[in-house]
Amino acid sequence: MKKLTYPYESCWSNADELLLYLETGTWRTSRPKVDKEKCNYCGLCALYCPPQCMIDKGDHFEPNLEFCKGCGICARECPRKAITMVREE
Amino acid sequence: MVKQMRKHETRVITGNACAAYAVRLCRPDVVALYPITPQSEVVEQLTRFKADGLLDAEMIEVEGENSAMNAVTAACVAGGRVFTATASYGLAFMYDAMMQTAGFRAPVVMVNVNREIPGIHAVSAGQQDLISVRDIGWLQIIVEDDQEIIDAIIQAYRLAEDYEIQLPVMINYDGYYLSFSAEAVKIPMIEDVDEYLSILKKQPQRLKLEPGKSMGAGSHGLLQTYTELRYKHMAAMERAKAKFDAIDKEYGDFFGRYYGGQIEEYRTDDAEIILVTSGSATGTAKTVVDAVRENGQKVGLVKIRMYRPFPRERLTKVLQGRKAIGVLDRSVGFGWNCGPMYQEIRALTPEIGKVPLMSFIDGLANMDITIPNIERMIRDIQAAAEGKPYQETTWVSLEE
Amino acid sequence: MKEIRIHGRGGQGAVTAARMLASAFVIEGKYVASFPMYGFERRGAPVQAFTRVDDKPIREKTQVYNPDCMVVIDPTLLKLPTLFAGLKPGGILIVNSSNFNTQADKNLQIAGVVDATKIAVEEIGRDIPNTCLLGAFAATTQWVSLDSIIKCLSEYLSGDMLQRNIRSCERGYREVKILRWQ
Repeated sequence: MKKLTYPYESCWSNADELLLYLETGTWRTSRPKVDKEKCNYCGLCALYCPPQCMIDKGDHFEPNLEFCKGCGICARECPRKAITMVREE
Repeated sequence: MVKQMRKHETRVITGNACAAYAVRLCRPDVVALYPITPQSEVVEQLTRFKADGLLDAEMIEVEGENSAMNAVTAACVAGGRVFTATASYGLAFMYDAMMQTAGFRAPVVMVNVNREIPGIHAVSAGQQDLISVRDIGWLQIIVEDDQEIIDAIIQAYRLAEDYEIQLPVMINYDGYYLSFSAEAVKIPMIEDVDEYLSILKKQPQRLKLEPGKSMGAGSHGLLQTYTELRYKHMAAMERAKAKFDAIDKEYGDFFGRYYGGQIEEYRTDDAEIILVTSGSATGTAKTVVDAVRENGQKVGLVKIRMYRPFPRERLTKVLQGRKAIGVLDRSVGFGWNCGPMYQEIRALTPEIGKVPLMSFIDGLANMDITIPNIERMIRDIQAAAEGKPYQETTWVSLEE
Repeated sequence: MKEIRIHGRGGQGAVTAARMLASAFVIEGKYVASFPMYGFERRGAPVQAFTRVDDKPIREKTQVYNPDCMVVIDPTLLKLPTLFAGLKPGGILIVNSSNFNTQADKNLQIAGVVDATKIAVEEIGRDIPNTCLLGAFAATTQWVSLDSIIKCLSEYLSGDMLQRNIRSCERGYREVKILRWQ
């Protein structure tokens, strides 16, 4: 008897289940801080975020700190310079 | 031959560093490199040697592995001693170039750090990359530990450039388990390697591209010419078997380390059952064989060191007269639903007779081939030897 | 044979620590094998490194499942429920912490506790606690001398960095607090 536990026939994965799955937030050494006043809700940070962990808050975006690895791409791409990277304690 | 204790330098370095140290000792003329996990340290260390003035080679910083193989093949055909290194995706990228190298009979030496091939993305150990190129005419050697990386690379130049062989040689070692594994190794002195390889200078010199000589390399071949060239290539591969045995003995006499040639026969003399392995799992398997022998069980191990050409004659001899045989593959043989080395050993059945022959697939994509796994394989082989029903292929990590 | 498992995060020098330890043992005439296992090769991701040491050649090429000693470079890893998996009875822990004091596992008998981050920041100027923990390792396990560890550091570091790491290592040796349980 073989124990086959992977749900698919080939290397597919369900992004809804697995995209934000591993607690990579603990890997971070700095985190993005969003200035709500400067943010104009353009969504570029969310588009650029590699693991897609920017949360839509209705009038601005905020990082999902459970998964954010602190890569800083959002801060780099924000056209309003509304995001700054601050060191983790 | 007087047995002398050659001086060595002892260092604690990774398998990748071992490869770089060995290549440096062989004084290549041209080195073309592109990094890929788990081989990147080979590139870094060789580049560091060049920067420190310890390596007098022309370093070509290529933009990809396909160029790396083309560049070194061209340099080789022009008479140079060359080197490159790759793994997995890089090996795949240089596929057409590698076929060219073999067709040219260019004695290129390459390190392939074994990593799973594209298809299911894996940055992890596995032998599928070396298996995927077994039919293009390269000689393939698979090593067991860091010390053997050093010794096999030096032997590889001796083998590849031998006038009777003139074939490219691939040295394979497991990614992660050997590439990143650090042990204390003995590094020969460069003067001694010069002396060891100097025998090549005394042989008739191979054809090479030279100014003033109107020879063409890589000519178009059809019909009879093509057939004859394939025949000659295969004949050279056959000659490589005895040659490799002789080279390994010669190396042992010279440097004090001998590996058994095409295969290593470990405690096989009175063995009733045999496990065939290759690569880093061999070390683990030897530990289990020793432990099992303490309990009186007569088990032996055969390590496949030269995979291409396939060590048919020596395997036939050592596998005869056994009660059951198991073959551990760190790869799969698509098309036969078993391990590829098992598949090739199965082809020896007319000579070794019909004995229980079992395929064990384990260690794919960094699955650890653990001591309990090897104990299980030996138990299964023993059960088959005692006449119990057995399955042809066991996927060790998937079994309940 | 002794098996050592080192836990850290990428960028903290876990892999280098395993190799430095191997080098130190070799200086004392032992056989060693040391290798890392990464899930993801990047700063911050958990990484394990294994070092085996013995009086005869080591042939096993597997991960260490039953360590005699564990070295934990990042104290946040202590939260992982599986961290101590396989620790042998009588097991030793070397941990970078300012306040570790509980017998975190039933097989844990000895713990060498040192605030290696603080010492590293003071001596080296950066949070690279690995050499400090090697000093604590020597003091707690007594499997290798401080002298051998310091000797091997020069294979990996030079100049000012070497001197700073030697000081960090010596302080780890002197300042480690050794706890014992039955």
